[in-house]
Amino acid sequence: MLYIKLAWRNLWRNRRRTLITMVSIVVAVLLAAVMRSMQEGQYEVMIDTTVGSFTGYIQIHQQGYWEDKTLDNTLVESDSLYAKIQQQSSVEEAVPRLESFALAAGKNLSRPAMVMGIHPQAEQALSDPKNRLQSGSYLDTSDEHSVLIGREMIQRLNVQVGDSLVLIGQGFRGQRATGLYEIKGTVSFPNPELNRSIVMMPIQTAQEFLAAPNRLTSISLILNNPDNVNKTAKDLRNSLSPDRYEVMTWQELAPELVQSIQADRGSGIIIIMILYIIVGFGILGTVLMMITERSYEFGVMISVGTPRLTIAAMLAMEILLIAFMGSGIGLLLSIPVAWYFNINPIEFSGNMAEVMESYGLEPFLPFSLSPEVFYGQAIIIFIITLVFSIIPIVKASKLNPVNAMRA
Amino acid sequence: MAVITTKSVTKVYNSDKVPVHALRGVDLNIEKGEFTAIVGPSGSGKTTLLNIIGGLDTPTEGKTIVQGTDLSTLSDSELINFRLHHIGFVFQAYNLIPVLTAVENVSFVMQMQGRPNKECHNKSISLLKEVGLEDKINKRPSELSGGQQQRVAVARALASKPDFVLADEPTANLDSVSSGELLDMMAELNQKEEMTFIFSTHDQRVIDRAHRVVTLVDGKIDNDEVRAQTV
Repeated sequence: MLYIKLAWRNLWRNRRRTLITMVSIVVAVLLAAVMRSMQEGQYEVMIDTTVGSFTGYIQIHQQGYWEDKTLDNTLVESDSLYAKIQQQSSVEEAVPRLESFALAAGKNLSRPAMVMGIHPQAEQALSDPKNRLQSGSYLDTSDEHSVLIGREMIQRLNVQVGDSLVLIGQGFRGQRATGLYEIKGTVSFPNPELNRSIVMMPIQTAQEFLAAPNRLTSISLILNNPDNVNKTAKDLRNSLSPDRYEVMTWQELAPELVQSIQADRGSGIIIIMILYIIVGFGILGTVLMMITERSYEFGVMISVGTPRLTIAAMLAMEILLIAFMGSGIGLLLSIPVAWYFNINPIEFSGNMAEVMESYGLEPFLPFSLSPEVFYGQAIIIFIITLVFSIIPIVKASKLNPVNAMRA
Repeated sequence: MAVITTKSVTKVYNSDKVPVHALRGVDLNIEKGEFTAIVGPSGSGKTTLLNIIGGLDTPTEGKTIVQGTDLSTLSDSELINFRLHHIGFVFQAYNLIPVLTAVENVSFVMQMQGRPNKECHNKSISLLKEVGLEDKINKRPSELSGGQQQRVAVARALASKPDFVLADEPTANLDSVSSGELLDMMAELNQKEEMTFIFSTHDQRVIDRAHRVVTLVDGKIDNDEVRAQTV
């Protein structure tokens, strides 16, 4: 209690210096937290675009499918498989898909197409095509002979909603696959490649087209908490036969996404570390000044019997109080800033928007409100403050009282 | 029995370059209850001798024995603890912790000794009353005059129940009235409580009040005059 009282009062002996030091910490924490919030928000968008709306957090395939993505490596849909998936409490939705490639032909033109058989209801939890409809109407049943096509695909084929579309391809085990379907609507995804080539059809229609009844290329899982990915994948690997099924997390499905996030995060952390080191040297200067101007006082304190450890503890407490208040205020200020940009994401336009869309991202940048973004900064500044305080504290605790009082 | 004994204490500064002999074989015994002034011209070694007696500095040669303890055998932390429990200090100026009030400054040393807070507070108030500052207990050093600050320093020096008080030119920055009052107070404590005081001083008023005057010249005892019986 005595140390806290002493430290607190000492802080306000030189009010201006304390405030300047504190403000430097506030600004550093504020900038770092807002920058990290922006970065993490960007990653969340990237993950959400790729994972939340396309791959899912976990996918289950027939063993070997990921290595060799052919219809011959599809899995057989079964109630027992769904039952085992539903045993996982973290699984919110299991979304079946049957994907292949075919040639799509309109009246005069034909284009390569990515055929995706979807469950019209379940798929809304993943790529949400109903809300991405640009024209026409959504699929009603799992067996209707209708398709939705990408917004650019319809132009590339020079067809309209209501026209017929012919699909020609290769089905399960090399069987011929042909079909004639009504174009029921167009869908628009952030990923331009999908817009150019996707043809979505009800899953049973796709199974019929590809001569692959009850067969799926993947079951994508939506989780109620993305943090449960690894645990859920591990549990599924334990419950499903490894000879028949492969269970892959989104990090395994999209390693290039993970790497690009890690690389970007690394560069962001380097910038923040430079900022923190500058602040750290500011703190070092403050603490050295605190000690130099109080060396006589420390000399008197040691002379009258104050243990050196007590003086070090008192100084440490002063520095901790500055760091604690600076970090706290910095965090308190950064949260509303991040909150505002989370609710009102920065919207890109022009070339930047096109670049983002070309990467399959929506041209919006909402800031992250993930708690670790904020408390992580406070912890880092706390550690840096302590590290930069060690030298002065050691110096103070080794003061020779006679020399200190002579100075 | 002597409270303090120095045996052939020698102190040489900068011994590896140009040696400066601050003390040259000082032998001194201070008995309990003495009111002793160590005097001499500037550079004669007064403060060095006081620092060595107080365990703030170590002699180059010789021994300092305080209450039977050879200070050279103590480690740095043991010396700090020894000072805390056995020696009271009053310095020339800026004695007090600026952010603590008078009562907190006096209490500080007792708290360092680990005494209960309430005891520290009560004892501090009683000591401040003893030095005539009962109406200033909650004032910070910046709100006290130089003389009042020195009185608080004396109260703090006494708070640890020391064997003796070392005062290094305690009146150097005081006017004659404040000096007189401070000396009266210390003389009274010496008389009433048998507290041993050792001063280093240039101040003739202090020298006039001392019962024993030890004169140092060039680091040696030039004269040791006992003027009155100690209490």
